[in-house]
Amino acid sequence: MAVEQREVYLLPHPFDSQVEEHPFIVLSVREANDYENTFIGVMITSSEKYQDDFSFQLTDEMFESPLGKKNSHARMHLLQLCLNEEIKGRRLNKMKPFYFRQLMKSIGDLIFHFDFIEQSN
Amino acid sequence: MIAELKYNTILKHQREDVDKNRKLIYFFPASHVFHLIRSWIINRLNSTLSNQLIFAKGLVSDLKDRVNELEGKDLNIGIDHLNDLIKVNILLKDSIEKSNNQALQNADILLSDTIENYYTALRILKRKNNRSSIETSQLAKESCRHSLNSLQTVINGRRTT
Repeated sequence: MAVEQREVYLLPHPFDSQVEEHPFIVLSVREANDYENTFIGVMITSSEKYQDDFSFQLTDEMFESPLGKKNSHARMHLLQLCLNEEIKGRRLNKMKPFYFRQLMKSIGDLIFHFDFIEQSN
Repeated sequence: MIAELKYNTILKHQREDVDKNRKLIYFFPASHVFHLIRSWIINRLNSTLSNQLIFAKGLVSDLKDRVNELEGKDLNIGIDHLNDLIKVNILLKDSIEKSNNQALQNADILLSDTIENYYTALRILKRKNNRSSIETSQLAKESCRHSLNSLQTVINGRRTT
């Protein structure tokens, strides 16, 4: 399964199958994802409990189709390595390039204190 | 500085102003028969958005100049206002994109530039905001376990290339 940057997938809870799955935005590029069938993702949650300076607010307009949950935000400091084989179902959504760029800039600045500069293809 | 009232009030008014303009887009007449109305809406929109862009650039510049003064202050009100303002600008950008009207192209460019600047301002505030430490959350534990599971699977030799 080809996993592309900006796509959104559901992944199961790692140690409790009773807990609702979380969607993830794929941050890494296809070349890296294909190499070992893994990808770097950032977790999306809609829990008000976790709203803070490491939250990147997400709205329906930032995606190709509506997210379907209010108060969604990406937890910018919770970047994780995910396995393609754990993906539940099909692609949920895809983030629009302009907003993905803002997310990456925010992760670069707030999590790494680095300026991620986008490369043209 | 943004922690004080002056910026917070301006941000609130900017939000209301952009929201009014967003409502105008819904009434944007498709037919060229309404040429005068179209011109009025475009002029009004471009004027509001140009002013907003100047404000957004000024805000970023001012925050960069005063960055040391912001350190450790409670900037949550400013952060909330900026988040609201970004949201309403995104809604307006979406309405313009959906209208698929070439006449609104300039407005779309102005909006993109403004949103970028507001995100820059937001990042400056977040970096300097007073942040109290909290216990490791369930989400953080879940996140670490995810990465650990993935690493173990890869280490155990599930290489595909």
